This record gives sequence, structure tokens and C-alpha cells, in this order.
Amino acid sequence: MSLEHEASRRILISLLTDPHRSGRTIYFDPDALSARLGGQAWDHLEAMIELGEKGLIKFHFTKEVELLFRFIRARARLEHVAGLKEVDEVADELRKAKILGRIVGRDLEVIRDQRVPDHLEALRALSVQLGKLLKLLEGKKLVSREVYEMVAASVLSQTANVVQSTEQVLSSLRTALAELVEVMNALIQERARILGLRDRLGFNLEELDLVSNSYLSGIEEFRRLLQQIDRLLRGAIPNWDEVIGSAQKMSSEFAQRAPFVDVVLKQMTSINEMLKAGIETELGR
Amino acid sequence: MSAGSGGLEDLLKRLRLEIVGDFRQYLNALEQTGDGSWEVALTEKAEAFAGTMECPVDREEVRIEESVLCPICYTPYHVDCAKILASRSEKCWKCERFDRFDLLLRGR
Repeated sequence: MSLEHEASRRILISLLTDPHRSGRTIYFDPDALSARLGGQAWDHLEAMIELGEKGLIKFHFTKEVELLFRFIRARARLEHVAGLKEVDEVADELRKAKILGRIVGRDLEVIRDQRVPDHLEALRALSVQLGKLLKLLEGKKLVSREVYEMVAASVLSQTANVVQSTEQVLSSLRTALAELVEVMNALIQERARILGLRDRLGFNLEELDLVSNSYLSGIEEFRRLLQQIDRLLRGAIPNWDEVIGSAQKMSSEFAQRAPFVDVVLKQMTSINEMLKAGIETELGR
Repeated sequence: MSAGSGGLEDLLKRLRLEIVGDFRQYLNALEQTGDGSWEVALTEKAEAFAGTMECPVDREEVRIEESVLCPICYTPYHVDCAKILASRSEKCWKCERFDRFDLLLRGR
């Protein structure tokens, strides 16, 4: 009987001969494995999956590892949607998520999101249309009802075309942001729990430090990511704040005759709330 | 960012592995197909892994999961026997090339 991959054999021997093994168990040590075998930790982890499938090793994971899987998946997805990373870099991130997913027993669903950089022109056009609607609203009392209705019909008809090509990308961005914010909140809650535990214990443990510091760097990474998205959106839709500020007024004015305006405004408001909440998160200690 | 270099990926260190199942049958598959001394040394040792292993200090059987292996020749020692070698800074009784058993016993 043999193992399919040479790497798996080398990992098995390395685990069996690792001086840090305690009985039958050992913690995964990326640095030690890379020092012994060369290569990257993720390759070793991938090779270990074959050992797991052959029933030679069993993975024991805590919820931190599952959270790491969600973190990597959410980060890769948002970076893809926002176009912050090249396709091959995103693919590498997704590979990591897939490896962890196999360990924690979670599938990685196929992502069919649209990318913001592919729709920058459409988003700029949306910005222009929303600006026109704002101006129309401001000038409502200055013109006759007939003129207002005529201009409104024309602007809304142009807006309908633009919204068609931006709805999907905004929806992709909102979904990716929602996933990231959910993971970010989980990291914040877990970190607070660990800090509380440390306080109750009255002393510090190396494991608690490792986990709380990792969570903190994860939260900070997400926050930087949200700031990048914020800048990206403001670049694509320069009147972002103005539109968000008048979203409710615009919605009540145009939603009835043009439901798509309501949809796009709700998408933008929701994205704005998530960005704001994430960027302004207070971390405490 | 690679795992182990800081950041959230440090959480990979919280992944605990348990060696289960009969791994000896897979060790037999080791042949001189690799590129380094690892494979050569392990091929020589494969038979020992597959059969009963004997600690050269007390000549008693030692189970691999409870053993300390000389990192050069993979001769298995009982933990207690390895501790004796470590306390006297003795070399491996088989290959006589390794004398830092204290490093292998850290935390045991």
C-alpha cells in the first residue's frame, strides 16, 4: 500500500519523528515543517489531507480554525469583488480556504461575483444619474409640475439603463461585505471573550495571547480592507455622501414610479452602513 | 502572507494532529526514489518501523509513538533511556553521530 504523493510520505515521517510530538498528538507547526521539509505551510497542510483521508492522521480543530476558514474565504471574496488583487492571487487565497474547508468539513461554494473594476464606467454613469435626480428634487418647487414630470421621466428612463448594469455588481459587493462584516463581528466577540477569560483567570497564557493577537490582526486587516473599498467607491461615485444623505428623500420621491431607484439606493445605504460600522469599530484594549 | 508569519494565519498553530491508524504499511512504501538522505536513511529503517523496534539501551521493545528517534539514523529509544543519554551527553549508540538528546526531550 502506498501514499499517492511523495509529500504525504515525507509529512508522515516528519510527524512520526518530530521531537515535539507528545504521544500520538502534535500541534501543526508551519515554521517547523517548513524548516524540516522546505516549501510552504499550505502545501504541507494539503499533503496532510491525504494522510487524513487514508485514516493515518486525525485533525482536531477548535472554532478558531473554523473562523480562520471563514476569514480567508471572506477576504478572498471581497478582494476579488473589489479588484484589490489579481486573479491568480485570489485563486491562491481560495486554495487556502479550500484546504481549510476540507479539514473543518466545510464546502467552498463557487463564487460568481462581479468585479467593481469591470463596472467603473457604469458606476460613474450611475453617479451622474443620481446627481441629476438630486438636482431634480432640489429644483422641484422652481418649475411647473408638467416640466418637472417631463424631465423626471427622461432622467428616470436614462437611470433605468444605468441601474441595470450596476445592480449586479453592487449586489455582489454588498454580499461580500456582509460576509466579511459577519466574520469581523465574530472575531471581535471572540477576542472580547478571550480577554474576559484572561481577566477572570488573573494571568496570561501563551495560547490566549496567540489567539487574541491573531484576532486583532485579522480585525485590523479587515478594517484596512474596508477603508480601501470606501476609497474605491468614493472614486467611482464621487457624490456618494450626497446621495446617501438624501437617499430617503429620493426614495420616497421616485420609488413609486421607478422601483429600481429604491433598489439601488437601498444597496448603497446598506453598503455605506457596513463600511462605516466596520471602519469605526472600537476595539478596546 | 504565509502561514506562521503572523496575522490571523497564526491560528493554524491551533490545529492539533493525532497520528492514528496503522501507518507502518505506508512506511514500507518508502523507496530510494527521492533526492536526499531522508529517503536513503528511511529505507534502511523501514523494516524496523514495520517490525518490532528495540531500544539499544535496555534492549526492550519500544513503540514508535512512544519513542524518541535519533534524527540521523532513526534508531528508537525509550524516553527514559533517551533521558539517560541526554543527562550524560552521550552519542547515539547506533550511529554515534548525534549527542543532543536533550533537544529532543524538551517538554517531555
